[in-house]
Amino acid sequence: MATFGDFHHETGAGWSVYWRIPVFSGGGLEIWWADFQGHRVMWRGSQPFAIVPYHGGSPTYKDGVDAQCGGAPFTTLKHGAPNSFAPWKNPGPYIAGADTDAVVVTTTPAGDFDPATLVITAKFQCGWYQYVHRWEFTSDGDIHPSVAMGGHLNPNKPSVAHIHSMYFRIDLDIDGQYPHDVCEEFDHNNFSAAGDKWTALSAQGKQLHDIARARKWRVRSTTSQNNLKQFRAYEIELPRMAGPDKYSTGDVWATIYRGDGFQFGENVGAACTDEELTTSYAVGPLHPATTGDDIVLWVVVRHHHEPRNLGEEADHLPYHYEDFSIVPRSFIDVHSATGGQ
Amino acid sequence: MKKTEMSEATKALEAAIAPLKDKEAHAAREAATKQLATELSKRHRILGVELRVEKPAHSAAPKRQIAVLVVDYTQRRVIEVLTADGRVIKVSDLDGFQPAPIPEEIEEAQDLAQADERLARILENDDVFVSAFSPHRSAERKDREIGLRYAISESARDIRILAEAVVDLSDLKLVHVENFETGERD
Ligand SMILES: [Cu+2]
Repeated sequence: MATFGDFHHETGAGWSVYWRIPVFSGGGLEIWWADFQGHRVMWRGSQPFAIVPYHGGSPTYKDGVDAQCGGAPFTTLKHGAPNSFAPWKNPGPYIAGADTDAVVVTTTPAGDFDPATLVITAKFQCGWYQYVHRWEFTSDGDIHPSVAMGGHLNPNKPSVAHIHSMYFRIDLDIDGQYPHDVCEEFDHNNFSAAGDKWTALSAQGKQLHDIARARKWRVRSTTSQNNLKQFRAYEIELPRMAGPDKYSTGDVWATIYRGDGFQFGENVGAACTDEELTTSYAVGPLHPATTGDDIVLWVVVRHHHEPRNLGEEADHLPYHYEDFSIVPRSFIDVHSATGGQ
Repeated sequence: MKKTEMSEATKALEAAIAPLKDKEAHAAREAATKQLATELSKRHRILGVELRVEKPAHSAAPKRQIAVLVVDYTQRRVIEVLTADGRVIKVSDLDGFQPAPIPEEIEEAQDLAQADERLARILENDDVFVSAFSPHRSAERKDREIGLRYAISESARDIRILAEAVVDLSDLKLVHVENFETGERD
């Protein structure tokens, strides 16, 4: 048993999930082999890096995996470490000596208003900041990845606004049938009968959100069907409070699996931007009409942070969560109340 | 319970992903060290050892693999050695990638920085603390560099970063100091 880097198994809310905090990536919590009701949904998911540009042209930190530009790797904290500047000033008592000191797993039964959930959470020190990585799995089959910002404002720029662009790498494998998935983009064009349209992407690349079109994305199997002969799929629903900018240039990148030992956000950030995701990660064709592909998505969650340094954030940053959803479509089998179809 | 939630594909992985045993980690280190013996410079360090799982082709059984990450300071290389059953199966240079510094590296950087009179003077104040960061990089420079921030805190509302330094562990020297109080930098 290693202190870090092992896979830990959890079950709950109909899910079987492994988590891991790697030994040397600096990229935080990873979720592996998320299966819902006996079917593989996700090979791996993580939020390995963030890009944080400040108003005024500098700094622009790259935090997490392969940190640079003045940023810092994510250092694993004990789950009870305070949300304050203390773990930055004096890390000794707060740094987790083992991954099990950091990760908290909770299961909650279904209630009157919510499905049952399995939630896996850990927090990380990153300079004066803290990031919380949280993955919620529900008995409806949803995955809600989220990230919170906490800790302390930049001591030398406490009043300067900045944007946290936080990058998730999502490797969905619908029913484990890789490499036979397609990546599709949804647009609500108008209210006519055929006003909604799913379009398969024919090449890897950067995708932009379009709120007016209710845009979303999905990874759909071309081989695995549910019992109503529908191809199984999972959709990405991405809320938006801030758009792309010159540092964080897209919303979603469609790319393919190139191994689990690289392509985790390393070599991104040479110019303190995400341009390498477009120029060296999401490059090459996709094959929606023939074989399908092993799709890997990068998804950005973004928060424009206008510091409340003269008020609520003077002492520490109350944890502020941003999230998105990964939602099944025709993934589960349908059984009627009488037992037939 | 577990058996209805877990997919068959995951069940097939169970042996490959079981917790790393000390014996295995040791064997992987040994194999990596032996493999690289003739090419590593004196100044190298094993940063860590961990399980590695690559997606198997569908017909193949998943392999249990252990990765050893090595940094060679003098040669400016970050090397990953992949092993299976205590034997090396692949050696790759992770070009341009800098793994998170480990505590020993940060200590080494602090010791080097402390030799600088300007930084030593800042450290005379007991309220000063030091934390590491990851400096700017350029594509050409592959040096292993550690950033250090010198900050002072009297209370949560009164924290200032006094200075920043960058230590190059490849050349074993201080390459940058900036004092935010005096505006001095080099
Ligand atoms: Cu912020």
